[in-house]
Amino acid sequence: MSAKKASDLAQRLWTECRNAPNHTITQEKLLEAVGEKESLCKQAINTLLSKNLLLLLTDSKSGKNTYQGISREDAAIKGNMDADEHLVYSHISGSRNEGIWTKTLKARTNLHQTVLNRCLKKLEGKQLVKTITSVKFPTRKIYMRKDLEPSADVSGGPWYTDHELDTAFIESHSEAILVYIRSRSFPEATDECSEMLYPTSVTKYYPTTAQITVWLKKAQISPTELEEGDVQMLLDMLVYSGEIEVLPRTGFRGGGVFDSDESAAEDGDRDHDESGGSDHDEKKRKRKRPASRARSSSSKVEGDDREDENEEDEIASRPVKRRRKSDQSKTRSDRGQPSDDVEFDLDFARVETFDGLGASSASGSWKGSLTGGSGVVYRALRRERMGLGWAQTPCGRCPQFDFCSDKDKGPVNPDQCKYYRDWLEAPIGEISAIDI
Amino acid sequence: MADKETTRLCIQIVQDQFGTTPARVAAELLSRGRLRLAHIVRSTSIKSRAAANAILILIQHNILWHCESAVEGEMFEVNWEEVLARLRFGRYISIARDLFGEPAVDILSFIMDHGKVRAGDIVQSLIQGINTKNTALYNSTLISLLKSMYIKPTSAALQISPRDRLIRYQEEAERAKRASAGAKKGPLAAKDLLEVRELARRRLKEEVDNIEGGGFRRRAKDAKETLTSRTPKRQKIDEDVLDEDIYLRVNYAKFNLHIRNRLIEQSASQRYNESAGLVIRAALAAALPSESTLHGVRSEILTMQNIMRHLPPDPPLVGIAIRPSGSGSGSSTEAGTQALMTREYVNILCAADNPTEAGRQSAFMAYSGLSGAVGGGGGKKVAIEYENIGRRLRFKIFETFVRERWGELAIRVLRLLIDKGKMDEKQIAKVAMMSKKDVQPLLTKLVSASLISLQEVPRGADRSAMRTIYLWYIDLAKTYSVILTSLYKTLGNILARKNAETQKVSAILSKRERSDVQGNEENFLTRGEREALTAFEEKRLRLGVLERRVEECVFILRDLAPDGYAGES
Ligand code: SF4
Repeated sequence: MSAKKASDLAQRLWTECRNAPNHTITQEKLLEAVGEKESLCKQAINTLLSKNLLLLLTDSKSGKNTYQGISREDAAIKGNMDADEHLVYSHISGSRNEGIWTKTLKARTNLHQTVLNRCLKKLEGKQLVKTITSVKFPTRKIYMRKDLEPSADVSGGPWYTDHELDTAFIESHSEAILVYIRSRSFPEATDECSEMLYPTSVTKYYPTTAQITVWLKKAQISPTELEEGDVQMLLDMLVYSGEIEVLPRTGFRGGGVFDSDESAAEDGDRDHDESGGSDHDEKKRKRKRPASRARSSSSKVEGDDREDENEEDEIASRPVKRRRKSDQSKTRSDRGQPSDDVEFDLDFARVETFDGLGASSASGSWKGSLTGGSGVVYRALRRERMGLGWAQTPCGRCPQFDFCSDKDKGPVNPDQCKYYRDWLEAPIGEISAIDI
Repeated sequence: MADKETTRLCIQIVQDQFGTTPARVAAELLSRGRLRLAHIVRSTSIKSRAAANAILILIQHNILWHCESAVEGEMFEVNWEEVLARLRFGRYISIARDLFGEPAVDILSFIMDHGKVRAGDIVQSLIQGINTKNTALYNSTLISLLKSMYIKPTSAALQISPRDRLIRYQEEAERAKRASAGAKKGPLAAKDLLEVRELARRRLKEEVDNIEGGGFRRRAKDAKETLTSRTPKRQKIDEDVLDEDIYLRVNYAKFNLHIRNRLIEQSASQRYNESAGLVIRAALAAALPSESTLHGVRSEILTMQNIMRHLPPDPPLVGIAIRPSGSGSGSSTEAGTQALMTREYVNILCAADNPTEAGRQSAFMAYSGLSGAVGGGGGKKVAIEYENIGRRLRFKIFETFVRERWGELAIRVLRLLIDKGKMDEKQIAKVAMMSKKDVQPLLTKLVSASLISLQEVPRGADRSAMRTIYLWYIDLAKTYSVILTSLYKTLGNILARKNAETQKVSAILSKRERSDVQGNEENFLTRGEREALTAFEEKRLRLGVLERRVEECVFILRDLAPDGYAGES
C-alpha cells in the first residue's frame, strides 16, 4: 500500500468525521462510510489520532468508541502542546464562555499547582486563553478561551461597567423609561381637567415591553443597546418601586360604556358570553326602568364594532373616531327618546413623545411587536400622598427618634429639640405638607 | 393593655384635658392595669378624696371602666381607645357642622364637655347659655342627631368593661347549660363551649344594641315602653318623643365613617382625578345610611342609578378621554354624558381593565352579582371594597413613611420582599437592581427599624455562620404595629412640644386672661409680649395641624383595620 493511498484514506476518514453531526461518529459507521479494510482504517485512524486530528471518545451510553474530528487549526494548536497543557486547555475550552476557576481547574485536571501554573502561563503566552473577572465572584481568577466573549452571567450584562453595578446607568434608563411610560399613560390635559384618563376599554396607548425597547433604542440615551430582556428587568424594578403598574393588554371588554378599540378576535367565546350577559342585563333594565335616561349607550359589545390590530398608525395621525350605528338605532327605538341620542367619539389627545421619537416615528416597528407582544402593557401610577403628614413631621425624619424621651429628661427630648424649633420657625412655604 | 407609647400619649391627653390629678390616676391605671381606689391612693399618694373625684370625672367622660369583682371589690380600668378618640373631637365637630349646622355643633360640644348628659338637660342648658336661640331648632337637631346615631344613649351597664360582661354572660350561659336536663358531669364538650360563647356574645351585642338603639319613648298609650329595635319601627318613629331621662353620649363610630369616607375620596382623587373622587363620594354617600361601624368588608350593593342620584349636578364629571358629540339638545346630552362618565369612572374605580390579583387589590369597588363576576359582562351593580381600600391605604402610609425616611430604594426592597416572600441578599440585589454594597446597609437599617426580619437557615448541624443562609422577609402585621407605635410616639412628642411652648409663654397667657387686660391688650401688653403671643399662636396652629395629620395616619392604620392585621400580605 502506498503512502499516498494511506494519506488519502486518512483524509477521507477525517472528512467523514468532520461532516458528521457534532463532528462525532461511531467507529462502526465510520468504517462503513469509507468502506475500506478494517486494518487499513485502524492504521489511518491511529495516524490521525497522533496528529490530533481525531479525538477518541467513548459513548457514555453504549460504551462504543466514537471519533471526533478536530479542525486543522485546533489540531495545530494542540500539536504544539505537551500533554499537561493539552489537558488544561481542553478544560478551559470546555467551559466555553462561562470560564473556569483555577481551583476547579486544578481539581479537574489533578495537576500539581506548579505544573498547572506553568501550563497556564504557557497557554497565555500562546494567546490561547485569558483571565477574566466574574461579577459574581470578583476575587476569583477565571480562565477562558481568548477568542470568546464572557457570557452575560459572568460579565453581568449591560448593567455592569468594570465589574461594578452601574447604578447611574440603571437610574438614568429607568428614569427615562418612566418618563416615557408616563407620557403614554395619560391623555393630554384639557381645559376641563388636567388629569385626564383613558377609559378602561382602551389600552393601546400604554406601551408594551417591546415598544419601550424600541423607543429606548431610538432615544439613544446611552451607546449601550438594551435588549428586551434587559428592559424587562428595568420594568420589573419600576413595578416594585410602585411607579408603574402592569395590566393586560386586552383592556376591559365587558363594561360596554365605550366601544372596545382593542381587537378581541382571538377570544371568540368570551365575546359571545359577554354579549349574552349584557343582553340579559339590558332586558332586566328595560323592565325596571323603561325610560332610563341614564342609559345613553347600550352595554353591548359587538364584534363588528371592533377594529383590527391596525390601529397603531392612527395614534399619532388623527383622533380616533368610532360610531356605533347599530347600537344607536337600537337604543333609540328602545327608549323612544330621540333627544337622548348621543353619539360618542373617542377623542383621544395625541400622544406626545419627545423630539419625534416614539409614537409617530416608531409606529412602523411597533406594529409587529404589538401583535406578538407578551400581552401586558405598562401604565404609570399617579402618586398618592397619603400619610405624608407624618413623614413630614420632624419626628418622622428624626435620626434620634428612638432615643428621644421626655421621661428621664435625656439630652434628646421633645420639649427642647432643635428639629421642632427649626420646623416651627421655618417659613410656611418651606413646610410643604402644611397648608393651613 | 396599652403599650408604652400609647400609655404616654393617653396620659398626655388626660393631662391636657383634665389636669394633673386625673392624669396621675390615669397614669397609674394605665401602667398597672386594674386597680382599686385604695391602691391608687396608696401608690400615687393623692388624697383619697381627690383621687375619688378624679375617678368620677374620668368615669363621667367614659374613660374609666368600672369593674365589680367578687374577690377584689370595686376596681377601675382605663379604656384607652376612648382617650385617644378625644384627639378627634375637633374633627367630629366639624363633621357635625357640615351635616347639621351650628346647633349640632353646640349640642355636640355640650355633650363632649360633659362626657354624657341627660337628654332632657341638653337643650335647656344650651338655651340658658345662649338665650337667644330657638328651642325648637335645638330640639329637632338633637332628635335628628340621635335618630341618625351621631349621638347615642348610654347606661350604667355600659360603664362595665365589655370583656367583663362577656365573661359573666359566658359563665351564666355555662351554668345554665350544666343545669339543663341531660347535661353530663365534667367539663363541657367543645361543641357546647362554642355554643356557650356564641350565646354570650349574642347577649352582649343585644344588650348594647338595646341600650344604644333606644332614646325614644312611645307617645300616649304605652309611654313606658322604650323602643328596643330601631329598624323595624322606623316608620313609626315620628310618633316617638325623646326619652328625657336617658343619658346621651357621642357615637364615635358614626363620625369615623365620615372620616373614612373622606380619606377614601381623597385617595381616589389623588390616584385618578377629581371626578373619580366625586364618583366614589357619591357611592359612599349612597352606602352610608346602612352603615354604623367601620367593620364590614364591603358596602351594600349599589346600583348605577343609586350612585348617580348622589352625584352633585355640578361640577360635571370630566377627565376621561372621550367627547360626546351629539345631535341632541344641550341638557339631555349633558345628562347622557354624566351617565356615561359615571359608568366609566365606576369601571376605572373597579380597576376593570386589570383583572389580575394586583389589580383587584388596588380597586376601590368591585362588580357584584353574577354577570359582574364573570368578566364583568355588563354587571351594573357594584360594592365599595372597604377592606381592600383599607389595606391599600395602610400600605400607602407604610410606603410614604419608608420613602421619606429611607428613600426609593427601600421601597423597592420592601415591595420585593412582600411580593416574593423570603429572599437572601444576593437575590434582592439582583432583582432590585442594586449593588450589594447598597443593599447590605439598607437591610441593616430596615431591620433595626423593625420593618423586616431575618430568618436563619443553617445548612449544617453546627449552625456556623459560614454555612447558614440568611433570608430576609417582611411581616406586614408586625410592621404596621411598629409604625403605629411610632405614630403614637410622634403624637406624644407633638403634644409635649405644644405643652412646652405653652409653658414658655404661660406668664403672658395668664396676664392676657386677666379681666382688665381682656379686650385691652394694646394697652396692657408690651410689644415684646404681644409678639411672643403671636409667635406662640402660630406655633400652636402648626402643631395642631401636624397633630391632626398624624392622627389621620393613626386612623388609617388602626381604625381602618378594625379586625387587626391578620392575613395581611
Ligand atoms: S428629638 Fe425632636 S424630632 Fe426627634 S423624635 Fe424627639 S421630638 Fe421628634
